[in-house]
Amino acid sequence: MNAYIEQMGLIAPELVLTALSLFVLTWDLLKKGRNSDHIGYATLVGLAVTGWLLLQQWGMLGDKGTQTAFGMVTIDRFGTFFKLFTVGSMAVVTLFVMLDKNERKHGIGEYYFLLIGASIGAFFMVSTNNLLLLMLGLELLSLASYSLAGFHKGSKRSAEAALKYIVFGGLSAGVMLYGISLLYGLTGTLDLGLMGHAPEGSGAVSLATQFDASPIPVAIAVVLVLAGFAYKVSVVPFHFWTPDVYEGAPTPVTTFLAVGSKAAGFAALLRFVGALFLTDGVDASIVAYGDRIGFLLAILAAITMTLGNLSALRQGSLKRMLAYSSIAHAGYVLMGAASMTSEGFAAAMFYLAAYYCMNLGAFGFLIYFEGVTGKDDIDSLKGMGWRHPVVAWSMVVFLVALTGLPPTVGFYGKLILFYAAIDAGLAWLVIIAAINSVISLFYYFRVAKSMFLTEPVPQVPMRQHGLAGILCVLAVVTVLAGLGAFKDPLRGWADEGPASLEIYATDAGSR
Amino acid sequence: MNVPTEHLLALAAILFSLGVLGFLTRKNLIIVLASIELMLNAANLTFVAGSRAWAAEGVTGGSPLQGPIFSLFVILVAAAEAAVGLALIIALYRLKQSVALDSAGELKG
Amino acid sequence: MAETLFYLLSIGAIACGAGVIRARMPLFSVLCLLGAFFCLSGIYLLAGFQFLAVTQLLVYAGAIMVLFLFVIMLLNLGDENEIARQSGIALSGKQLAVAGTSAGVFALIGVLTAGYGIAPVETASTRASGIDELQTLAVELFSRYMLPFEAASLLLLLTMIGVIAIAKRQRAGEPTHTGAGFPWTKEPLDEESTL
Repeated sequence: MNAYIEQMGLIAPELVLTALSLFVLTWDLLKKGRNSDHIGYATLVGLAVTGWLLLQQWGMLGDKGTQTAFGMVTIDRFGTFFKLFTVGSMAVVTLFVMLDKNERKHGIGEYYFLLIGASIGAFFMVSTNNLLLLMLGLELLSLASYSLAGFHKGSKRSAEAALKYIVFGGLSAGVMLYGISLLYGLTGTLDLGLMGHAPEGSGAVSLATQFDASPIPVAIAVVLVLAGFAYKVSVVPFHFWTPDVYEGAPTPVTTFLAVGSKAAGFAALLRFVGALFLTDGVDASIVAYGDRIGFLLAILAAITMTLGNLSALRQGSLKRMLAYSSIAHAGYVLMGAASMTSEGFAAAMFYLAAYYCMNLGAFGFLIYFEGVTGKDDIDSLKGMGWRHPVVAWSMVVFLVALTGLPPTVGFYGKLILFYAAIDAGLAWLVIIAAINSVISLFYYFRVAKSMFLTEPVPQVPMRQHGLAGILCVLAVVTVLAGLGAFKDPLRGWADEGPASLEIYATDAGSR
Repeated sequence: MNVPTEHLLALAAILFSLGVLGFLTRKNLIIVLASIELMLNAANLTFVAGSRAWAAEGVTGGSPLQGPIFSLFVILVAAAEAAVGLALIIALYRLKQSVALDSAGELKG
Repeated sequence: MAETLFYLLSIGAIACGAGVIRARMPLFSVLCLLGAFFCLSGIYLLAGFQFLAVTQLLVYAGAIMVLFLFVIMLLNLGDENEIARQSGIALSGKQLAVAGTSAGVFALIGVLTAGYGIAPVETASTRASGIDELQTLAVELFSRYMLPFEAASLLLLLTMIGVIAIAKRQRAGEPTHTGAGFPWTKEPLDEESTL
């Protein structure tokens, strides 16, 4: 019984979030949908508690190392990093929902419930070695995202976006589940740790053994599962839903999809690849195959960033441009995964943290801008720089960071990604990425130009101080983190994660 | 039933491919959702085949049990996805009196 | 006997599967899907997975099918109302897709049957290992798989709320979100008036 309670303690953040989601739902019912802002505040409080628990856990993991709860939840710093990431992005998205002038202010309790449900899914997804729980977490996240994308009833754009999302999401779920079923048939286990390295008497066969016997089925199974993750992080050729869904969904939801959901997808991808190919004790044959998977990912990364950037060049809508820009950034993060080293994974995680600041900021600016003008095309930005200087300058900071220029955190993130890729022998990929950064300069600069260099069009001045404040804070963090990163405390923080990735191979054999 | 595992796997592969084919070629949203269900069923059949094979190997320790349990969860997920998908179809139909995604050109590909 | 039945059911499942994707009317497609579910359920039964077979019938044939049929009837989606889907993948032609996927089918079948690394099953007795027993399954589900089980309950709740949020009618007086412009651009935002 005590052991049971101890395990409950390990998944306390998940439990708090679940309780919060039920509380939000019940409270909304009791209030009969009047003024949902209180529910937003309650959500923020719950998220703060969860964040505090996660920070406690982070410290505890430093002393005790990786732990396992209920035989399938792996509590390690890698997972906790992404959980903190999810909570952080959820908190900002909640604020966006509350401050978005384009959002109803009452009767949207379900909105918060679905957002919290999505983050519970992300929590399970980033912290498990078991494919069953991974699949359930992914579906929790996906189903909540589908509903959220279609949340604006009465908007055809929203409904069509959600429908497109679920149709292609269903396809990717089918493909991934088929891949998982083949993996199970091959290895006799659903545990990624055992698939990577199966000790005697575990009743499973490691993937490496099967790979020696029959390489092609293993290759098919792994690629099918990777396709499911690639859909979640919108990597070419599974990206085609992204622009439409990002454009049609309510903007706070788009923010969550672009930041929280994408990071969770990358976490699952890194864990999957890491457990199968990188942990101690895997055979040389499967490591060689892992290098080939890495090469495949490298090619996909190159195509993804090029296609994303080239498409972003000719967008007139800021929201659609940011959607393509997020595809391009998925390509950059994939560079880290493609390098197939723990340095590469650390670089990918650091870049995601940088992406958190700059993309949340850029989407926050979009919400502000939609709230002021009611439009989302770049031409309507004219004069924003003079009428709303604080917000506009924050946006300039985000644009500089997204391009990857110093002194922002975006520059440092790209720098360590490039280093990791070069170390892994992917110099060609770094050259492509550098060219892509130059391409991206054009369309990011177009936004800045529109804000500052053109004559302002007359418009009703309307200010949102709350939103402007958040943007300011994010901008300051983007710059400070960029400056601070050179002194290395942040980097050490991100480096801890993959180190614990290697640890979990040893105690995954508990079953 | 004395059928080799390969035959079960082949049946699953055929059903999966039929599902993918239907998804790519049909435009009717209901049929597209039905194709996805077919793919999920193929995954279930593969799980069953795998579980049966591991049981025949004489493996103990819960390995053969994981297959059917996963299948149960797949059925659950299929039900949830069908429900959300059909709800979205109804929502869109209410707005347009048709479920044609491209007729109004709200979202340009 | 059981083998013959298996191959008959397999042929039935494939025929129904082909029917799903070839049917002209959504109604026929869904009925074919129902047939495929029945055949698969029979196969599970033959393979010794009674509980899975029953669940397949109850959940798929009982619940999901009713949902599909309900929507088809509710929206009166007949043949003349072919629901178009804009495919984001720019397929240059149906033939290409058919040819490509058919090639994929044969490659997949060939590869899987030739090289799948599991030992061939001579006389697979699932009964001996006890995996067909409901009791074993239940004990496992509530001990080792308790957490996924609970997560599944959350998934169902979330789906329910999501479906209600999407499909319920808008109450009178709620502002609608039109795609073309934002509601408050037409009139000055007045938070009190919308309450």
